[in-house]
This record gives sequence, structure tokens and C-alpha cells, in this order.
Amino acid sequence: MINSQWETVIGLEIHVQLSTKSKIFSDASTVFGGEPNEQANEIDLGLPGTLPTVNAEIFPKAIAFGLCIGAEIATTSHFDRKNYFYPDLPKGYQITQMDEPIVKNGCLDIELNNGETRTVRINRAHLEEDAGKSLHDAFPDMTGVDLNRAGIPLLEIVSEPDMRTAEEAVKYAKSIHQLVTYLSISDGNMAEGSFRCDANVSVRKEGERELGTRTEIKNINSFKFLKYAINHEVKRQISLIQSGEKVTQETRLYDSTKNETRSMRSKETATDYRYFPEPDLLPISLDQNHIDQIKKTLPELPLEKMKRYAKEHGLEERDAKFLSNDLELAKFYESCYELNPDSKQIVNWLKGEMFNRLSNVEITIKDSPVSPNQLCDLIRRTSDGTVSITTAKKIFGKLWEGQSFSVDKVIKEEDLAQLSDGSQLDDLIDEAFQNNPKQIEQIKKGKTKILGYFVGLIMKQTAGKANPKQLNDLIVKKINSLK
Amino acid sequence: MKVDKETVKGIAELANFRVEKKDEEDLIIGMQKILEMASALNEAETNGVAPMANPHDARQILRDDVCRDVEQRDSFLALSPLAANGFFLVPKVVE
Amino acid sequence: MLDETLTEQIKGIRDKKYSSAELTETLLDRIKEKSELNCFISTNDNILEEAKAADRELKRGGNKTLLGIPIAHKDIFCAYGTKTTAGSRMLENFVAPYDATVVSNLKRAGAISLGKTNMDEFAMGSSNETSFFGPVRNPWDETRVPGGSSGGSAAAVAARLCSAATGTDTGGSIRQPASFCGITGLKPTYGRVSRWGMIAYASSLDQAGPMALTAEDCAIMLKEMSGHDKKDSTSAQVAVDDYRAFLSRPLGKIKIGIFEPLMKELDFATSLVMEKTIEELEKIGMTFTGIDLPNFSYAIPAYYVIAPAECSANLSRYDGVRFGYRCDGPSDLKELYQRSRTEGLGREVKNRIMAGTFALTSGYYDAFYRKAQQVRRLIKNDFVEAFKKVDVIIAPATPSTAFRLGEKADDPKEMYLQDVYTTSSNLAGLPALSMPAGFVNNLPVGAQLIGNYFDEAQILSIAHQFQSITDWHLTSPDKRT
Repeated sequence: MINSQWETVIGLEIHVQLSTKSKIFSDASTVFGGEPNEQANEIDLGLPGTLPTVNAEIFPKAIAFGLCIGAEIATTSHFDRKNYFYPDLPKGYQITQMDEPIVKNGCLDIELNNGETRTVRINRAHLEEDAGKSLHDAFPDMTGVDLNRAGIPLLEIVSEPDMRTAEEAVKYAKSIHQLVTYLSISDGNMAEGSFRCDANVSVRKEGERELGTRTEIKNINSFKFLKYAINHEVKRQISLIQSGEKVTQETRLYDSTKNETRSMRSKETATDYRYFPEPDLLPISLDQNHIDQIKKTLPELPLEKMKRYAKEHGLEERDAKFLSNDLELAKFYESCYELNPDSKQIVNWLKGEMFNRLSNVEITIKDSPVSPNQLCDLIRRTSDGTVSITTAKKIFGKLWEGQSFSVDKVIKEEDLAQLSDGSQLDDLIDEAFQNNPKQIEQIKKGKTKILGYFVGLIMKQTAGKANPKQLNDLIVKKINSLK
Repeated sequence: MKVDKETVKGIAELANFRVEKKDEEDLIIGMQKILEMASALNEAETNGVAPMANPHDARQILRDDVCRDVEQRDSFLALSPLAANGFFLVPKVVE
Repeated sequence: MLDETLTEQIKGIRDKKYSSAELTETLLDRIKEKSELNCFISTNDNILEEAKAADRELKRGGNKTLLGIPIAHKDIFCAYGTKTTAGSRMLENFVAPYDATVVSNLKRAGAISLGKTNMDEFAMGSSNETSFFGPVRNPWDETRVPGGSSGGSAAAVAARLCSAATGTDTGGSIRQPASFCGITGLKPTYGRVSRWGMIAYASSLDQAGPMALTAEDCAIMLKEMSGHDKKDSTSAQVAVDDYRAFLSRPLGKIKIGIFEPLMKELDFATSLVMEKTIEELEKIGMTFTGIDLPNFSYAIPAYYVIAPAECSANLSRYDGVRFGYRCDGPSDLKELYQRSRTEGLGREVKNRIMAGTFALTSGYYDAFYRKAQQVRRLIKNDFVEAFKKVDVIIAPATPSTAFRLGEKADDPKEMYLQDVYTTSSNLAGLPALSMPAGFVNNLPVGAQLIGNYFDEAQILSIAHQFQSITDWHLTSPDKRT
């Protein structure tokens, strides 16, 4: 799609909301969805005389992230003020970390489509406060300012410009997302703004060493949009250059309804942020022991988990990967595995029925109406032959719809157990043979394929409850005896 | 250190002040005087001296992650020169 | 009771010589009588009720240190439900929705508030002339300034409108007006008193402190004002001394440092006052020795970078959006910002914001801000060295006595040099007080004592001993004129 003589260079700044109860510099709540300004206290509003305090909870979270990307953790760091005016920035400065970020020089490997691995260098990750929200459509001629988000703790993860395609950028962003949710340092909820990307994009002729002029696309809140926004921006830049114009360094906004980026007029003027150390806060000291302690308690990461599933649970690598990719799915799987270590069956259910239903209604496994307990009961009843796979899927549907909570109760109440009583099946087969002499004649002539006709017939008669394997065996036996 | 009109204009832009023609000269002099006071710093020998942001060598104490409900939303909004439906209002911003 | 010190008023109420309500009424009359001094920006309408409540509490056996004592707060301290203006049009109608920790601490000690005292706008000034609410006049000579920025508090105490008041000191704003008005004023160690609810000028220099007639009064006030506050990350986790209890203890051998160059700059009359002060202190057993503060002369330059730089950010919140002054009918956001700030803030404040903004821009940061922070460390180190040799340092408080209103208004440099003896202790974060030490041409002159970190007890004790053998601090403007 993109002219092959051009190379795209992409760096991402990802803002991850750290899951804390209170804000980074105040004790107001971070819960999503409050009435406007209901969660903005005097500190968040920047009222005169107010001062920030520092939430202890942000450090173990930032440290865990830093350790997982093999970064240096700064045992001393400090906060700075970044000065600019904007209605959603109450104090006229943002408290952030400029020259002493808590995390420095890490990297993350991403797997490319061709199977190769690319290392994306992560230059830094620093702690800062989020701004509020401006609502431009709620009032005629006015912009409404809601400061509930002001002071939400963020970890801003800044990559080097190490990505070359939109797909790579998305891969990288997804890997970061996976990592932060795995570490439970963020809920990663993109719709609620807990995970947002700014993409720095430039293009250059293949083989050139100098970077082209870059633009920064702000606040992209879905992986799909990230891809669209970058691809659109690359096309725009190339066509600008091809028509003899220049790319201007600027901040752009991705408009998902029009699938285009446009210049953000409000932040047009190049600003001098006048960073200086925040005098209302003191330098932060982190104890190396504390960092080592966090290192010891880091959770198992996707790759390790994948290997363990393959090795210890005997899963195929593909399936192990499917499970370990998503922490919640892995957790669900492991709950099932504890109840019933039939890993193959569990993964089949999760990949099949569960996955389909989840994607139909766009919910995550965390909110699945079917519990690990129920799924394991269901698996148990298929393995012991009580129900067929087809019936089991029906039961799964009932559990999903909330029509029942117990697998065994559904089987009993709706009389779904398979007919495994040989004599009863014998009778049914005899009856079917008698009623269908023509087919019997054909069988005798050697057309054994007609066998399936009888299986279907009896399945229909028993409303699918006949144990298919047993039925099959009995029919074969009877036919053989006819010969 | 000479402050000129261009400097005043640029700095006023950053500080968000409106510079009327009649105030220009005052601002230049005002800034100039302070920066003249400051310019003696040049003579200080500070090679290898670490900047000091705070008089004490103390370290930041950290707060437990506990919330306190904001019970004063209405009184906070009442401080605003212009607020409606729970929002602070500013002239329409075009992004 | 008007001429009584805070210590005496506490005793007067305790001993039922008069009630809190009686004292309050007397003071309210006095404030009215002296309204031309313009000490107060607002007064507390409920104070009589509060005084009566205090009297009831006293009857029930209440024994809070300051129970029923009317004091005044510099209008830089937020007090719940009251206008808190910082002397600015920007906050003309700002009603604080919380108490500053200083306010709540003094309330907890039983004090009641007469009102909020006038000040230089956002504490930027040395004469009280930058106040949006008009200048304060010096009770010793009403054609003269009371000093600043805590000029309203200083003049109120000197004019006996209250026996004690709160002030703040960023570069000398407690000590210089204390000197000009002939009262005792203490700037504590940085971090001794919480800054929560105190409207910021320069965060790393601002410190609240007491202003009263005597060192003993300051000791009583300071104990109640001080302490670690979780809401202020820069407030120190250092135990608060019982400063008053220290006052009567024998001082032992105290060595006081003199930095000679400072004394040589003084005019003849003022240097006589300083000499006399040193003699008096020798009488009570102090010894004096020379010290060297090699970087002292860089204090003013460093101060005039750091304070403007910090204020340039601290005052960005005054944008006309969430509180404070907003211009009429702005057509767009930029106009809202620019006009609200330009119309709402005064000239001196704008000058400092401009200079501070400049000092922080990327091209000048290293030469100005960073350099000033380095110099700051050198200044601190000088003091640390000096305090290895001496217990306390003595210095003049101000280069002159109170000057005339308008005299220096057109000469900002002269005005800035008012802080020449005081800013170094703000930069280093050291405690320092100004105590009345004599008169020149019928105007009071203060002497400054600079103490070691968190050793307020020592400078208060020395001042107290000095005040036990002198009476400069008890001379009232009324009696001299």
C-alpha cells in the first residue's frame, strides 16, 4: 500500500493509567465515570494555597514495569513542573518527571509477521499527572471543563523511533498493553482512557540516514485507530513531499469518523515548557531492597507462562500461546485446570464456544457468565459420555443465557442424558430395520453407507440423546448379523 | 542583559499577559531591573556545584493510597466566575 | 490591656482581669480608630461571638494556650469561609473553602481571628505599596511605609490593634516590616511551619512565622503554628520545641558570629544601634567573633532569580477559569487568559512573573535558574561552615529605617535592596528573627539574629534575654509622638 521506496519511522509515547484508588498528588478518587468535577478536590483544581502529596502506590507499579523491560530503576528521582496554559490543566503546569525519570533504558521484543524479532528500545518511562477533559460539544459557544481526570496517575512510556510500519507499532503497543495488564499495574481500559498512544511519525527515502520531520498524533485510544492514523499520516506526508511541499513539525489529531489526521490548532504555538524541579515536592528515594523485593514478586510473564503450559500441561504451542496472551484468559484456564486437568478439552472449549460467544457480545472473559466450575462440569459430562458434544454446546448456551446454573440440573430437568442403554437401543434398531425393508435390502447388496441413514433416524427418534458411538457400534453389529 | 520589545512580547506570550503599547516600556524596565539584579550571578564560581532546589536534604514522604470523597463540589464550582451543569466554562476551544 | 503583650493578655484573660469579649471589643474599637493605617483588608464579623464562646470555654475550665486571644492573619492564609485576597484584585472575591494549617493550628490553640491583614500583592514587595487594597501606613510616622510584604501585620501589632499576628517571609517579608515597625518577627527554619493553605509566592523560600511585641510572644505563637503536616511535603518531620520553656533557661556560653562587611555598609546612626546591641548582648555573657560568608553578596541575585522563577509557575493558576478575577466578555480563550491575568494582577507581580518566565526559558535556564540554584548551595554551605564556629549570627535587619510612601516606588532596585540582609537565610532555609534594637530619627531599627537549622529556641532565647534588659520592644508609637 505504501510506496516501497519510502521508509516510515515511528516512535510511540504510551500513557498508561496506573491502577490506584486515589490520584497521584491528591487523595481524590480515580474511579471512572463520576459526575463532572465530582472527583476533583481543591488540589486537583489548583486552588490557591493547595499543595501536592505523593501517592506511594505508583512506585511499585512503575518499578515492576521497569524491571520487566530490563530497564534501570532510578533510586533517586524527582518531579518537575512543565509549564503551559490550557483549560484542562488547572495549575498552569503539569507535574511530571523530566531529567530524572524513574525508569530508563529498557527494551521490549516484538515478533514480526515474518517470524523475526524486533527489539524496540524504551528510552524512558516517567510518572506524571493526567490533565482534565475539555468538552467542546456540550455547550453552545463554550467549552466545558471537567477535572475529574486531572491528577490521575500516569506512566508515560517513551519508545525510540524503532518501528517501521503501522503493524509494528500496533504490535509494540499491544505488547505494552499485555505487559501492563499482566502486571496488574493498569486495567488497560482503552475506552476509558487508561491506555492512550501518541505516535511520532516521519518518513524518509529508503536508505537515507537522517530522520524526516515528524508529526505527533495525539491521544489515540484504540489499536485499530493507531494503525489507521499512522497509515493515513504516512500517506499524507509522502504526498506532501512528492508534491514538493514540506512536512511541518506539529501536533495532529486523529479523527476516527473521517479517518484523517488534522492539525491541532489549539496547541499550534511552539511552546517553551520551562521545566524546573517541582519545589512543592522533595526528591524521591527508592531503596534498592525494595526494588529487589518487587523483582522477587513479579508475576509470571506471557512467554514463561506459554512455555509452562506447553511443557507441563502438554499443550500445543499454538494453544499455549492463545491462553497466555491474555492474562484473564490464562487465569480462567488455570481455574479450570485445577478442577480438571484435561487441558486439551479446556482449551478447545475456550477457543471454540467461549471465544465465539465472547466476541459476539464484545465482552472479556472476566465477565463471562459461564464459570470455570460450570465449564469443568460440562467437560466432565462429555468425557464420561453422559452428553454428546452437540448437547454440551446446547447446555453451554443455557448456562450462558443464565437459564440454569448447574450442568447436571439442566441434563436432568431437560432429560438430555444420552441413551446408553443397549437393550433400549437394540429395540429401536430392530424397529427401524423392520420399518425400512428397502434400505435393508440395499445393505444386503453391500451399500454399507446406508448405515448413516439409520443412525440419523434413531438420533432423531431419541432427540439426539443416543450415544452416537454406541449406536453406531450396535447398528454395525446388527447389519453384520444380517449378512 | 538588555531586554527588548521582542523579548517582552515572547515572554508575555508564555506568561499570558496582554502587552498594550502604553505598558510596553514599563514592562521592559520592570523585567530589566530584576534581571540586572540577577546578572551578578555570572561572577559566582559554581563549577561542579550541584544545584540546590530545597534547603534540606530531606526526602519525599509518601502517602498511603486512600481516597477521601470530594464533598465540596458545589462550593468549588461556586468559586468559578463561570460554571454550568457541573462544568467550568471557557470560550469555545477549537482543537 | 491595649499595651499588653500577648503573654500579658493570656494572663489577663486567665486571671479574669478581663474577658475575651472585653479585650476583643477594645481591639475592635482601636481598629476602627486606627482605620487610616489600612492594616486590615477584612475583619471578622463573628469575632464577638467567638470571643464569647471562648469565655464560656474558659469558665468550663478550658486551658488552651491562646484561648480567647484575638490575633490577626496576613491575608495570604486561607481561612474557611472568609475572603482571602493575597492583596490582589485577582482574589478580591475569593472565599477560601479550607483553612490554612497555620490558621487551623492557631484556632486549635484557642485563638480567635480579628481579620486579615493587608500585604503587598502576593507578598511581592517591601513597602506594602503593591497591595490592590492600598498601602498600609507606618504607625510611627504615617507618611512612611510599614515595610512589606507583611506590612499590615507588622503595623497592626505596632499600633496595638492586636498583640500578635501571622506573617510570611520569602526574602525578608516578616523581618523587614518588623524592623520598620519596631516589633519582633521570626522567620522559622524552612519546613518548620506548614505551607498548606498559604498562598504561594516562591515555594522553596516561603515560610510562615509569628509577629508580636516580644520574643516570648513569638515563642508562644511559634509553638502553636509549627509542626509536621502531611499536607505539605516540604514540612519537616522534626519535633517542635517548647520554645517558651527554653526562654528562661540559662544560655551558657553563646558565641555570636559577625560578618563584618555587613556592618560596614550601614549608615552611621544605624551602625551605632548595632554596636549598642552588641554591647548589650555582651553584658549578658555573649561573645562575638568574626565569620566569613564568601558568597553572601550573591544572595540578592540568586533570590531575584529563584523567587520570580517559582512565582512565574505558582501564579499560572490565576487564569480566570476556576476562581478569581475573570475579564469581561472575552471572545476566545487567549483573550480570557491574557486579559484576566493582565487586569487581575498588579505591575510588580507581572514584572516578577515576566522575569521569572524569562529565567526559565530554555536558552537562559542554565545561566539564570540553574546558576542561582548552585549559588544557593554555596550560600548554604557558607552558613553551615559558619555554624561550626558560632551558635548564632547577628546582622542588621534592614539597610535603612522606614522610608516615605512613594519614595522608592519608581526605583525598584532600591526597593529590592531592602532584602539585602534577609534573603540569605531564606535561600539557606535558616531561622532568623528581627528584634527592636533602637531608634534612628524617632524610627525603629531592628537587629537580626540568624540561628542554626531548627534552633529557633536559641535565637528566641537570646532575643528574650536582650529584651529583659532593654525596652525598645515595649515602646509604643503612641507614647513617643
